[in-house]
Amino acid sequence: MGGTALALLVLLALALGPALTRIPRDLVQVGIGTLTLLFGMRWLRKAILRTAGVIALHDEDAAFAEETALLRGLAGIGAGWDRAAVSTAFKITMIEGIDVVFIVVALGTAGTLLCAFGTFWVGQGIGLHWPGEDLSLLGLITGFAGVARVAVRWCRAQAGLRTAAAGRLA
Amino acid sequence: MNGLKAAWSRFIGLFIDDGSFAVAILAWLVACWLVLRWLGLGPTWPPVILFLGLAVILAESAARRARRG
Repeated sequence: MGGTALALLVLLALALGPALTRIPRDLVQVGIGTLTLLFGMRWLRKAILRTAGVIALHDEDAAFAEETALLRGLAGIGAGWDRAAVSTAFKITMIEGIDVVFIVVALGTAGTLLCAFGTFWVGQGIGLHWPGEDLSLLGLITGFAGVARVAVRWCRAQAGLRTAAAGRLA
Repeated sequence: MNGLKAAWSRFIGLFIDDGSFAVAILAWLVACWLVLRWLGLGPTWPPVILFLGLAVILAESAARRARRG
């Protein structure tokens, strides 16, 4: 399955790569910018909701099932080092420790950057003139980061109202 | 065939997980494309309007999701 997917990707790149140079630059900017924006806005929205505590930072049940299956595969293989124990200890001390921070910071930062670049490219593609040209990207990054901060507070307030309403009904 | 369908849905899922959110973004981009050039606002305002619309869509969609729980 992995090999087929890789072969398909190579074929697509070979077929579509040269074609890209024949498409007008504005259209490419709008197309790539739109996809980048959809991807980035989705990520940033998810990061906002996670930071606000609206959606879980981690699906613990799914993570447990996945890890259990992985460790069952590692257990009892080879002599000397217990691979399952080493792997578990490493994950506990390293990965889980930075997981929450990584999810929120990485998703938020990546989402902000993708939104900024996506907006910039779409704007250029539809013929807008960005003040300061490429420097306006800094403004867009700051702008989306600011919107995310405000949205986190707004989401927390909304979630609080929902909880209060549910409490009154109970 | 099922594998291709699954791969396609995963690919689409990279860009869209909330239909109305994605539609709002696309509608705003099309509206900006069609309308902004005819408004005669000068060079500074159209990019600002494009950004502000996206910012409102992002914040409103997140807040709506937070209200829903």
